[in-house]
Amino acid sequence: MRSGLITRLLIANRGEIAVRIARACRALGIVPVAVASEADDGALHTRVAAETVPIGPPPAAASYLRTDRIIGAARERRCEAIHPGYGFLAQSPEFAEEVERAGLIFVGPPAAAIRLMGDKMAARRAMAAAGVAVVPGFEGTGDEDDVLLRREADRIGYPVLVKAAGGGGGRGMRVVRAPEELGGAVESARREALKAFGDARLFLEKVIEEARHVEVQVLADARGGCLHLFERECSIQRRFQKIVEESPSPLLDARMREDMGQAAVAAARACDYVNAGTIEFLVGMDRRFFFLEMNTRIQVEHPVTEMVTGVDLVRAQIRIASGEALPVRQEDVRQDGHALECRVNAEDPARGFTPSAGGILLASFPSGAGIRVDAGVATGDVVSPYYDSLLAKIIVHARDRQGALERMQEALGKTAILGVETNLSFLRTILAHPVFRGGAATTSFVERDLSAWRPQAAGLPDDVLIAAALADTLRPAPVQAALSHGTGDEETDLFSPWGRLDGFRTGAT
Amino acid sequence: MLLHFRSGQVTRWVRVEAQAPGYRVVLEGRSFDVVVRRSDGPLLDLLVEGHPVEAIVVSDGERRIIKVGDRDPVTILRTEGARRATGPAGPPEGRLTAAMDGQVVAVMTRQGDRVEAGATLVVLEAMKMEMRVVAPFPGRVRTISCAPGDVVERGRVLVDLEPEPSGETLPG
Repeated sequence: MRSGLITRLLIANRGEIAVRIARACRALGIVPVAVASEADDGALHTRVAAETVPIGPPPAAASYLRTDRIIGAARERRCEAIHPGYGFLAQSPEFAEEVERAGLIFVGPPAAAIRLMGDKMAARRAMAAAGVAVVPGFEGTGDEDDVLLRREADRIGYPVLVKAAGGGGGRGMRVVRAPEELGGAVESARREALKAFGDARLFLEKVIEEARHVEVQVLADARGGCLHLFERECSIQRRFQKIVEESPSPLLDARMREDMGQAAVAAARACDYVNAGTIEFLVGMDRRFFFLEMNTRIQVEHPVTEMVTGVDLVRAQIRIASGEALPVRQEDVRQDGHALECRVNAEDPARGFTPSAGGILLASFPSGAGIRVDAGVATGDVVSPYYDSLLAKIIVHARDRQGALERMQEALGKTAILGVETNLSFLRTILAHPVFRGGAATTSFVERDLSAWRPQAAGLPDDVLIAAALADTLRPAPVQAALSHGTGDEETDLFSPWGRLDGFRTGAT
Repeated sequence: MLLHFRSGQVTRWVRVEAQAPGYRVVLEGRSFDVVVRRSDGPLLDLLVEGHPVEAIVVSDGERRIIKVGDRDPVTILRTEGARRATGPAGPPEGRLTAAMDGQVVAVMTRQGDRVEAGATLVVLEAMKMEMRVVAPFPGRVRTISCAPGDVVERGRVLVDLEPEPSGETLPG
């Protein structure tokens, strides 16, 4: 159905999330308009959109972060709304304000909520005031001297984290294991924070050892409705970047799930939240949970929630932004079965996971019951070094966790992205690891249990050589894997050995 | 038809001969009967000695990437058999190369500079990651072949550094 006010929507993003938003627009009868930097000319997200506006040179600062060009593009193409996706301008309160000043709808929360949650110290205070437990720590004015911070750190107990008020997602953070390290950590964190966020304020948090990262999806409308869509567990992280996510969390029982859901709703209400958001919690070994931060945007891992609840979060975002009420009632939201997501990144596990750019000679994704692929690239596309390395998300859904694990292993085996290096072998190693399979992985898992992992030297099995030799015999002119761009939807089907592989249109709605 | 493929530093040869109903493939003296069940773009369904082998094979210049079944893909090079494959020598030790595809964000040295081991010479950035190219030994910067803003490929030479013992260790 058509979402009243919005007939044309500008997607201020790229890659898989831009493709995902375009799909939601089409489902709502809205015309999706893409933007693209010069590096993304002809990229998949532009092929699935109805129109594309070029917005500048490859560096994000000259294109995807150019507020003026993006709002200008929306006006020029007569869009009524802008969806920021994640990253780039998604959590800039100034951008949200400027969009509204331009008379456009920002598909996201009010600027005030973004601003409050972007200031990690203010967020802690607001959450504590709302009765949501925050990680034990200290936040004062942010510019305390070493003597005072040291006294507070002693009180909290080591190890402590020195965190920047303007940080988040692991940026601007120092782990301090002993009092004598505190001074140096404070100094370097201040310097980094000032440079990165223009804000030198710092606060302290206790390090929760062997923590689990469990977050709760919330959805609120502008009419006072606010509900949660249960949790996602994202403890599988490498350098604070999530790699594998799932719902339900294997850690939670019904009671804890209920408590965390209520805490998340209280958190969202405390900042007058509207639209989709995520409350991140850390859960300690004693199973107590603490507010970590709120992400005021759609998240990369949103599909696992969609798979288990059946709620299309991006569609809900757009409908809420156009003034509609929540699509479901809290008592009707169910967690059905188990969903897993793996992030396939263009990075080389053999070289310390450094980014791997280049042409994609072939991209072929699995499909079938319980499998969904949200991809940002297809055969013939080029992975440029300018943006983040996420190529695609493989999402599976099954009746239970065991079934989901098996389905994911199979799906990863059927995923072929040839031409750039990917972390697929690493993902398969995680999926096969007894700690992860047992549902016991904490945020330290990858660092501790997989630090020694290296991709297996594949060797050169006979069947591989035979296939290479036959391919060259049968195709005198080497197949250049059809580097031409198609016109959109049918194009990813070209080489599918498994029939349909237009993953970004399959699976949960 | 005789083909040569190189994997790492090992070159292997394969002979393919038509032999009804398919092919006879000889791998360094071992012979396999192969039937092509399907060849469709990059897809290749084979029966090797009666066993099904489902492969995806793509090529890019001399590079061949082969994924068989659900296993990880393997990258090899098609080489000319007669000529010796170009050695694995790599750039000489003083030539510092980009360890990843990326953009040069800063050049921290100038031609002729004397630098100590560990000094940052160039900063590269890609996909939100920063990587510093550092001097592996004390030396003098002979040439700099990149500038801020350049987009460079992995392996591209950025700085040529001439070994020169550190000042402190010079006698007298």
